[in-house]
Parts: sequence; C-alpha cells; structure tokens
Amino acid sequence: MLRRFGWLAGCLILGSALGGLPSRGDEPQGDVGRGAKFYSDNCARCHKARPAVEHRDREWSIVMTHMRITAGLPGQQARDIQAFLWASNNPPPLILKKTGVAPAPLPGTQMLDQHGCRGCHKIGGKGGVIAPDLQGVFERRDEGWIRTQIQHPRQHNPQTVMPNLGLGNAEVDAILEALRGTN
Amino acid sequence: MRRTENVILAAMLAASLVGPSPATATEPDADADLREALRTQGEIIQQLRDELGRVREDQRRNEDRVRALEDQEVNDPTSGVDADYVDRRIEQFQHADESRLFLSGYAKAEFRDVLNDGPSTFDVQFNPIFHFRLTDKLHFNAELEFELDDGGETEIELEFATIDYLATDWLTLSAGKFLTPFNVFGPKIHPTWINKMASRPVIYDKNGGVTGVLSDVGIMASGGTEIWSEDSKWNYAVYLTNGAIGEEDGVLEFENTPDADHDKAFGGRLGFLPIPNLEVGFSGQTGKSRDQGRYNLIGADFWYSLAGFELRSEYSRAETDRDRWGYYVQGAYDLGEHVRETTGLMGMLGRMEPVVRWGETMGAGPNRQQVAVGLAYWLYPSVPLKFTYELNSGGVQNDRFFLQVGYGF
Repeated sequence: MLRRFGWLAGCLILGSALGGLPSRGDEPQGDVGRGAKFYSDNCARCHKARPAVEHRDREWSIVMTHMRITAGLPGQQARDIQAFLWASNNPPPLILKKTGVAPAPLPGTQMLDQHGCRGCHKIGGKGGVIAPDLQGVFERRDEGWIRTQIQHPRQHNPQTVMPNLGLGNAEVDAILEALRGTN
Repeated sequence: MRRTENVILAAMLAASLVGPSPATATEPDADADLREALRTQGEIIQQLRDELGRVREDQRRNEDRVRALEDQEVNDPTSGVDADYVDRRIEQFQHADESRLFLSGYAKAEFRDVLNDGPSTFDVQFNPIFHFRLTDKLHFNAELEFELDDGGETEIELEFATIDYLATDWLTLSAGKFLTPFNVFGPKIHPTWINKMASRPVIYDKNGGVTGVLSDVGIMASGGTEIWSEDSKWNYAVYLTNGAIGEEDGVLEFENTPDADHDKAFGGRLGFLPIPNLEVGFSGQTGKSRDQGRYNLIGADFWYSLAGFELRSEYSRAETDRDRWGYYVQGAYDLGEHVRETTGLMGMLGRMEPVVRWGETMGAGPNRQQVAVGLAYWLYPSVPLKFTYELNSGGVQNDRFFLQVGYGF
C-alpha cells in the first residue's frame, strides 16, 4: 500500500512539475538588499559563510544552484543571495555614476534597508549576525574609518564579503546620520 | 611787330606762371593713380595679414581644444559614449558564459590515536565534487571519495551522482545516487570542512551506531518555500530508492545494491524554520531490505543558534526485527562572534570554536555512550584545524584522539 502511495505521489509531483514549467528567462532577478539578509540567515546555518572573493560570478551561479538543492532554499532566495554575492564581487562600473545631475539621496534610514545593511549588521537592535553589531560603532571607530569602510570595504579587509555599492559622499552622509540616530 | 611779340611773350609768361603746360599736367595724374593703387594694395595686404593672423589664432585654439579633449578622454573613457550601452556591455562581459564545469570538494589529513593500546595512524581523504551546468535548469553533480583502507590501498567510492532539474522555484527533481535526506548530518554536515568535530556522532558511527551516512540510488523531489514571511520557510524531500540490504549488529546498512524484490524504499524529510535561527525536521523511510524483511527508519533533528552559540541534536531509530535507536546533542560557541580583531593573540582567539557533544545508542547490538570535546580553530572559513577527544563506553570503541585539518574548496 505504502509502495503504491509512493509511486502515486511521485507521478503527481512529476505531473505538476511538467505542467508548470516556466520558460527560460521568466525568473525574476535577484535583489541585493534581500540577498544580504538571506546570506546572513542561511549561509551560516550549516557552515561558515564563504567570502564572495572565492569565486567569480559564473562560478557562484553554479555553486548557488548546488546550495539551493542541498539546503532546500526557495528559488527566489537563492537568486537574491546570488545577486548579493555578485554585488560583493563587483563594484559598480564608473559609467553608472556618469549622470548629468546627481540624484538626491534617499533618506539614510531607507538606504540601510535598501542596500541590505541590516542583512548582515544589527542596527538599532535589529538585523543580521554575521557582521559586527553597529550599536556604539562611533565609539569604536572614527567617522573617517567608517566612511572608508562603506565606500571601500576591501581597504580594511581584502576578504570581506561587504559589497562596494558605489555610494557617493552625499549618500554616505545620509547613512552616517541614520546610524547616529540608532546609536 | 615788336609790340605784338612782346604781348605774345607776356601772355606766354603769364600762362606759365598761372598753369602747367599740357605736357607736365599728365604726369601728376599718373602718380596719383599709382599712389592710390599702391595704397589700395597695401590695405589689401594688411587685411590679408590680419586674416592670416586670425586663422593662425583659430588654429592654435583648435589645437588646444583637441589636446584638452584627448586628455579628457584618457581620464574619462565615458566621454562621448552612450552610458546605457556601456552598462549593458559591462554586464554582459561580467556574466558571459565561461566554462560550465566547476570543481569543488573537500579533503582531510588527520592523526588518529585509539587509546588504551589501540593503533595510531595518519590518514587522508579526498572528495572532489564535479558540478556541470547543462542549462540554467539542468545540472549534474557528482562526488567521489578517495580514501585509504587498512592495507594502505586506495578505495574509491561514488558518494553521489545526480542529474537535477530545477522545475520551479519550489521543486527540484533529481535522479541518480544521492545522500539520503534523513536528518541533516548525512546530507549536509558530514563534510570535513563543515563538521566541527573530527569524528561522526555516535549514531552514525560504523561501530555501534544506528545507521551510517546514508546514500542510495533512486529518484527524489525536493525544494522549499517561504511560509508567512521571508523569515520563515519550510523545506522538503521525498524519494524512492533501492533501499537497505540488511542490518549487522543492529546497524542498518545500505550498499546501493539492486532491488531484487521489487520493493522500493520510500521516504522523506520535512524541515521547518519558523525563524531564521531555528530549524526542526522530521525524517522517515520504509522499505524491505534484501536480507531481513521490512524496516522503518524514523528521525528527528533540531538546530538553534544565537549570538555565536549553536545547539544541534538528532534522533534516529531503525525498526527491523531488532530495533535500535540513539541520539546526540552538540553545542558549539564561536568566539569570533565577539572578537573582531583579525591579528595578534585576540585574532587567534577569534578563530576558535570550542565544541562538546554527548550521544548514546541502545537497543539491538552493543549500547554505547560517548562524550566528545573538541576545539575547531578556523584557519579560514572552510579550513578548520580540529582537536577532538572522544570518551567512549560500551561497545568495542576505545577512547580516541584526533588532530585533523579539514579543507573545503
């Protein structure tokens, strides 16, 4: 009886899968901000989180497929983590900063979420655990050090997984002001 | 006559005094014209000189402008180029197709000492994992295991080899040989660069355990989805495989032999993560072994972490004609959670993770109890140097000491 149920369950799963196949290219893109959070939540569950510099983008794509299967990750969370690893590996090209007029930066509190800062850092008591808690960060580090860490993360630690998001001075000012508000 | 001549001479004298003679009146006109012509020519020449000066000035300014543009182009390669086009080309280059084959894996080198007059030995193991991306949705993964037997000969085993089809975001179909999704140590934790101890928990030990690290040949459906928010999710795996061949001293054995009695094993695992740092799972398998009839496997696993502290536990039960069961509980504390320095003595302290594990097995076969203490020193996130000391009682396993380097690549 149980054997027949097993075969039936297998056929039902296979049938539903074949009936609902998305075509290639239909999958939504990954989100860097969400990817930082899922990287913190998932990648240290079984093993220590591996730095993004270990692999190139195409290799991370293959690794993330293997990890999606091994860890049972939802597909979108796997794509978000992949986007975060790609962003960590690749600072934005200079071309992306070539604009006629610099857009007004978002509020600092909004950027903390949009850029995935809380994915790895605990800020104001909430956030990830794989990076330092930013409570009291201005007592531990001076503003110049923090500014360098945000704009050039690998200058302090070449193996850091913290991405270089290409933030300008005005954006960093807004983030620092938001961090002061949480400290 | 004289008077007339005098009048004529007087008239001629008067005329000469009053006006030029017809002959001298022609030369001054020609000079004037010539002077006028020369003056005009001079003006024209001056205009041409002025024009030449302006042309030369313009040329100099143009040359300066060209040099300035060339300097700008060197410093700003984007000048005069469509930004969107370059962005697209850079993105295409970054994600351009490279090799679809990727090699990863793990290895270990260890010193193992069985205490109380037992043997001590150096040992090595190498496990390459091949990943081949056929398409975005079709992947092939395989792991080989190279290890030395008691005679020093190299043994090669196929750990797993599956072709995986990522059908949807929540469903992956796999076929081949795979690490059986029973609890989590076998399918996820046993690699040497992940396991924080140098030895397996007692329930997976070849001497007096409940099962080994399970692998079998068959088909599997697996995946996961978010539940009520992105912070909660569940994952599942269901499979049909050839099943066990029997049990020896109470330990259920899987040797990936063909299913001679047309009675496949059916099983699965359901994992639940209500919050990101907590997972509970339930596993089961039922089948008919080649040698000893029907069997059931039941398992449960638990994982929790908070502020660098990790608690992990598993329970296994094998029901054959002789039941056997066991459990282990492992706690670890990552000092790096609170020590952020990367150099000096504090940096060394931040790489340490003390671990302690308690487990026992009971039922059919020898009952065993084990307490293991260890220290994992993380040379790199995937390279632990492990010190492990096992205190074993019951069964045939002596106390053991391990010094092991695990390497994940």
